[in-house]
Order: sequence, then structure tokens, then C-alpha cells
Amino acid sequence: MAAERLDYLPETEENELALAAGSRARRQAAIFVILAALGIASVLLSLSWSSVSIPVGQVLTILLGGEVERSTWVTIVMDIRLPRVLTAILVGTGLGLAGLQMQTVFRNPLASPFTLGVSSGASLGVALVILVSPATADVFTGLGSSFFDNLGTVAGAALGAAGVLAIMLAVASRVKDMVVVLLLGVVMASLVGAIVTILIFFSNEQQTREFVEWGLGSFSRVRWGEMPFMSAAICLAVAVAVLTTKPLNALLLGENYAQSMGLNVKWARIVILGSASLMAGAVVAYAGPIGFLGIAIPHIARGIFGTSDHRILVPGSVLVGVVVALACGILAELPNSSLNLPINAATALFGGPVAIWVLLKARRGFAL
Amino acid sequence: MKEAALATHALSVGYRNSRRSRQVILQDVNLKLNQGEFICMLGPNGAGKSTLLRTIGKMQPLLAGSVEIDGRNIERLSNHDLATLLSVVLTDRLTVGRLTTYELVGLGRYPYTGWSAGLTLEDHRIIQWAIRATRCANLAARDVSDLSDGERQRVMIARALAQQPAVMLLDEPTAFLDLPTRVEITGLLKRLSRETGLSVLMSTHDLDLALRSADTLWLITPEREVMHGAPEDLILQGALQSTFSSEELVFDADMGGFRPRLEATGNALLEAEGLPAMWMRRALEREGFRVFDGRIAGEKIDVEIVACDQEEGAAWRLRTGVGERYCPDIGSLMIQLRALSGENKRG
Repeated sequence: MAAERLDYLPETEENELALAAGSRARRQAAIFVILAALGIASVLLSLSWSSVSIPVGQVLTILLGGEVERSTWVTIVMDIRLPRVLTAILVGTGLGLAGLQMQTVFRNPLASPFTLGVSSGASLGVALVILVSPATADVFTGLGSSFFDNLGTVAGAALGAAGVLAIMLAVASRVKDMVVVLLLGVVMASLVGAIVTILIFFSNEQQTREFVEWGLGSFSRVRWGEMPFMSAAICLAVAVAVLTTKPLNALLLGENYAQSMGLNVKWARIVILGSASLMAGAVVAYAGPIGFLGIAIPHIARGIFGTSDHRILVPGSVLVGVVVALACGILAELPNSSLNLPINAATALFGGPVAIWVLLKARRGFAL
Repeated sequence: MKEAALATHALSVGYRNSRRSRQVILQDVNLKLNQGEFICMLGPNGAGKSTLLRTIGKMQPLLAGSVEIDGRNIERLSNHDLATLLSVVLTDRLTVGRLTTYELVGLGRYPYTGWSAGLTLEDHRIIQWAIRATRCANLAARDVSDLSDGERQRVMIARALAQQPAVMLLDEPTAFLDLPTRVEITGLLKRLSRETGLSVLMSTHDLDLALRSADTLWLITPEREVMHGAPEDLILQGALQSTFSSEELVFDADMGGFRPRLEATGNALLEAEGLPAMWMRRALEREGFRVFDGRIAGEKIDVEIVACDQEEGAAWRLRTGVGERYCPDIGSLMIQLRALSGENKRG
């Protein structure tokens, strides 16, 4: 090639280019370490700090299978708090990644499972499966470990999510104004919500109460029996996200550029949004329609890592998602009291300000 | 003969509205782009420049005919294979926030990297070459969102270059840029085509720049006909004049540029030489005069302008029906002329 002929600058410039890349990489590595440490700390805090405080040392002993002062602590940690912590981790991971994927594919910084009506679609899927099938009478309180109940609910939620996403994608390819797309997402959410309301209206009192409770969101609903299903769904989708970082980076430049670089845009969109639907569906099925985390997490990740590169943002959003979800969980538990708040209240208290920040920043031009 | 880098054969471009109805914008287009050639595509707004460019770049399906790049039909190439032969710079708005210039240019290596997009030493070498060739080295560590429009356009060209294509398509890369930046970008593309053998096709509204720098022009006329040839040939054939002249505007073949169509104010005889003659002629034409440099039978001369000896202090002598005046510069002479035509109108 003509590389030699076009050498306009001294050789040192090359070193500077490499250095600039290097200093950013070192900073990002440090942030990963800090986030991982925060993640471990929040796991331990979540396990020890709740309605009953259990010393962190004792928690560690329980986790390692040792003997502790009170045997009830073992039950509390292993059967109540550990599933709750795992649920929070899965929810944070799922919503963070689904939000990131949707923001990039829609090229819209305010896209998330919640804003585009995808969570509502998943709710509809869940409501249909639960209310229409007579076998699962009391459902929202716990699916248990029946393979078919779990599969049905997750599939219903994921299909509901994918249905709404497909509609929104079709809308977004015709309407270029991202504000209009978001407004249509809001309309979509209330439309789908109306159908759910009608379904609820015709169900019995018990089901209605449970549905309302489920709608508030909770990390405590998943027991060991359901855990394998939820984690399998999320892990599968995470694997897809990890394998599609390269297409996601190409999509940052828009579909035309992505295609001109050799990407099959149609397939990439199906695969990426498929995994987003699976994550949003699994989260909604097991923890309820949790708002705001999907929007907030990718923006926090972009902000602290200082990049739009998905090779950093995919693991970054997972770590940020885990820390934030666990923090919201601790907040909702109101440590040392027997009360606990709905998760949606905690995530909104946290995510609201982030959404406001994004909107204010967007006046200077939307950016991903 | 060597195969053309890009060739279209009986190509029809346009839109399929439904299964039956098609809207043909251009048809039977037979053009070619040779290796190392720099082509500018000109045409009025809405003539189909973007549609043709997008069809050639396989961003839009063609209606009939074929497009060949490096002798291969683009219809039969996968997106990936096409990406190694052709790269694009589009008018699409960038929404990327936190990507450095280096990372963005690195995305140009997309067709050559594995699933994790890991860059080899060779990839880095090509990225740095592309950054240098487009003179973006000082921008390498900066975020793309912080760049000016002109800088960002240079970076997008660097990205397209890092893709190592045989052909680069650019859709109005100089739109919305200030004049010096437009000249710089056009010069950069021309230089790349010369120095690296890259074939460049860009659409533009910058007639003047296109005439000065393109090897070949593709000209889409208002009648949706596509003409091609060296800029000078197209002027001599009158193709540019007929495409761009309108009620308001004339394409002046002598000057190689546009001037507003003015009501004729009269005929002027100009006796001068060299640069002063050229600029005085422009000033007179701006005022609506037809300028002659010698008496022609049958043409009545309204004013005579003669260049003076510089030692006298006055540079120009203006001779009219009412008498003779001396003017130190073109500006004051124009004021005299305007006063004169005002008197004529009142009288």
C-alpha cells in the first residue's frame, strides 16, 4: 500500500496515538476493578443488612457452609436473601443490557424496555398465560419449579416483549423523529396496558390483588425452584450480547454505514432485539415491570467509562446494573425495619434524576 | 484495456412503490469510473444524484441493469465482500457520543476483523496511515462529538479509507462546510485518488470546485439524462450551461461560473490589459454591461473605459455622452456609472 508515501508526520506521532489509547484503557481497567469491588460489597451488604441484621462475618461463614450462632440465620440467608440477591443481579444485568441494546439499535438515548412499551408487552404475555390458563391459579405469588409453568410464563413474556419491539422497530424505521418514537412508545404502553386491565377486570379478586402487587416489582418473588429458569434465560441473552458487540459498534454509525461495512443489518437487528426481548421478558415475568433501570444503567456506564465502545459497555453495563440493582434492593428493604418498599419506588427515585439529566444534556444534541 | 473500477450497464434507478408500480428516476445509465479517477457528480436538486449513488453502493435496490465493481456484479456480492471493495461517506447525522477519532477510524477495519473486532498490528498500521493521509493525527485522541463539521467529515473520510476500498462514494461531503473547508476536502479527495489509486465518486453542488478539480464530471440534466466527460468538454458542448441556467442565473462559459441574470444596462468598451482588465470586466458585468474590447459594427457603445498611466494618480478614464471623468479605482468608477444610469432613467 501507499502507507510509506503518505508519511507526513514524524514517527513520534504514532507513539502518541498508541499512548492516548493506552491511558484510556488503563483508566477503564481501574473502573472495572472498582465496580467489581462495589458489586461484591453490595452482595455482602444485601445479605447482612435487612429487616434482621446479620454480621457480615457470619454471612460469609454461612456462605462457606460453616456453623453460626443461630440456625435461623442460615435459613434467612440461604433461602430468602440469597435468591433475592441473585434476582437483583439478574434484573440489573438484564435491564442494563436490554436498555443498552435498544438504545443503540434505535439510536435513541431514551429507549429502554420501559419507555418503548416492551415491559407492557411482556406484562400482557404474562397476564395472558396466567389468567387464561386455568392450571396456574395463583401465579403471581410464585411459579414454583414446574418446568411448563416457568417455560410458559417466560415464553409469554418474551413473546409479548418481542411483539411490541417489532412494532416499535417498524415505527422507528418510518418515523425518524426520536421524540415521536418515544411518544408512540408511551401510547403503545397504555394500549397494551389497557388490554391487561381488561384481563384483570375479568379475573377474581385474589388474582387482581396479586397482579397489582406484581406490578410494583419485587426481587423476593423468585425462589430456588424458579431460579434455574430465570438465570438460564438471562445468561443466554447475555451470551448473545457479548457475541454481538461488533455489530453494535457498527450500528453506532447508523444502519447505512453499518451495512456499508459488511453487516447484515436485518439479521443483526433480529438477533440483538431478540436477546433484549428475552431479557426484558424474563425480568418482567419474575420480578415485575421494573422501570428506569433500563434507561439509567447504560448512561451511567457511558459516563463513567467515557466511551461508546460496546466492548467496554457490555461488561460495564452488567457491572453497573448489578451494583445499582443491589443498591435499589437495599434501599427498598429499609434496613432494620420490617417494612419494605416496592422496588419500582426505589428504581424511580434513583432512575428519575438520571432520566432528567439525560434530557437536559440532550438539548446539546442527543448522543449515544 | 484495464477493467474499470466501477461500471454501470443499462442501469435504472428509482423506487418500487408497490409490487406493480415503480418510480423510475434515471434509466439506461451507462457510466464508468476508472482506477485512480476523481469524479464529481453534478445536477440540480432532486435530479437523482443521491438515488444513483445509493444504488451504486447497494443501499437501495436497482430497478434494471447492473453495477459492476472490479468486474463483479454487486447483486451477487455479499455485504461483507462488497465492504472490502467499496466504502461510503454519507450525509447521515452521527449520534455517536464517546468514540475517539482513532476508534471511529478503526471501525473501518470492520470487514477484516473477527467477531471480537480485535485489531492486529497490521490493522493499526492501516488506521494510522488513514489518519495521516487525511491529516487527522491531531484529532486522534479526541471524541468525535467534539469535532467541528469539517474535522468530522475528514474523520469520516479516514474511516472510509481504512476500509481499503477500490472505490469510495461520497454523498455531498462538502455540504454545510465553509468555503476553505470545502476546498480542503475536495483537494484531499483528489490527492487520495492520485496518490493511492483510489477511485472517488462524489456528488456535490460546488460547481466551481468540481470544474477545477474533477477528472470527469457526471452531469444529471433536468431532463434526467446523465452526461459525462471532462469538465471542459461539457462546457464546450454547452451541457453545463443548459443544466444550470435559469431565469435568475446564467452559467458564464467564459468565466466558468455563475452570475445573476441582469437587465442589460448598455454596452461598454474596455481598453485595458492583464489583471485590471479582467476585474474591470467583472465589475462592469455585475452592473449589467455587455463588455467589448474593440469596436464592433452595429453595436452602439454607451460608455468607454480606458486604463490610464498609473503615474497620473487616476487609474481609469470614463468617457460618456456627457463628458470625461477620472476615477482612482474601480469602486469610484462604479459609483459614477450608477449615478449616470440614474440620471438617464429620470431624464
